[in-house]
Amino acid sequence: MLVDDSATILLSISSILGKAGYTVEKAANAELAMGKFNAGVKIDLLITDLNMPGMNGIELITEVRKLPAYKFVPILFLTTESQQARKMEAKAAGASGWIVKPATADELLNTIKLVLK
Amino acid sequence: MNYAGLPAKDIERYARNVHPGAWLIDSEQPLATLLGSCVAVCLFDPQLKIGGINHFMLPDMRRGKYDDVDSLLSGNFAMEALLNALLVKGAKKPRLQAKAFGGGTIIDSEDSAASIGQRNAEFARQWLVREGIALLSSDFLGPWSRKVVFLPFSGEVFCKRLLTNMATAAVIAREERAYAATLLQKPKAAENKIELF
Repeated sequence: MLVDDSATILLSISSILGKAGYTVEKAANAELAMGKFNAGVKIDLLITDLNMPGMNGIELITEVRKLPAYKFVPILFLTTESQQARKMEAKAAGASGWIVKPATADELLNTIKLVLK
Repeated sequence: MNYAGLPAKDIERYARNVHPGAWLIDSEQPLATLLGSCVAVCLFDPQLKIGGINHFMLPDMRRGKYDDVDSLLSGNFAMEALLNALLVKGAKKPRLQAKAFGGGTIIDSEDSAASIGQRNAEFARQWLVREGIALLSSDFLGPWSRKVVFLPFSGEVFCKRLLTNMATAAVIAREERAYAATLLQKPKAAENKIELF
């Protein structure tokens, strides 16, 4: 599942993941993503932006981790922010990793392989 | 200082300069940049009266099967960094207005020079359409470099087309080539770009 309010990110990252053989479920904001999670969407990985209008990425993953089906699903943040305090906040909320943009396709795919192991 | 009351020639003199690869936001002081084949996008929130400008180009990557999308991600980063800086200050994406410039061909000896500018201009246009930000005015392409001065308190932009002489064109081109080279550098591990918890 890829959650980002940027249409460009949804387009480009889903293109990378699609070429690499992954199926991508997309959501343009955290509320839409929560709707899919509450409906029981089956995913192996969540990649989310941090700053989005409405619910932000940390609020999103806090809610996602409350749902038993997604307790152990890896969660990666993909964001322009690199502040340590925000990373620690994300970690405490249940994130598995943090990628600072701009990340290349290879960096993203290598990181995904690592967290899916 | 009351920048709004300055005559046009002084506005340019007091402007902060935005170099290739950089972006700046402000609510008072004018912002300026000099463009060759790069593009600059000015974003302005008319309600908050704050704005910003960037100066960027897409990297010409020839590394592998993800070149196109890596190039897109690099351009997106230039736009997103500017956008996020404005959002942090309270701007709202649906209110933002854009004006965009550049993508010129200042050295006509290379066949690819025109396509570089065209690619940058096309990216800026398409990014704004995808993100739902209105492009109010633009001045792209052509055999010019451009001096762009943006007034972030009003959203006004002055764009001067410059028919550059060979020496000036070479200076702009050299600066843009140096910037383009930084876009192709592999990130250093020490940059701590990726962290697994």
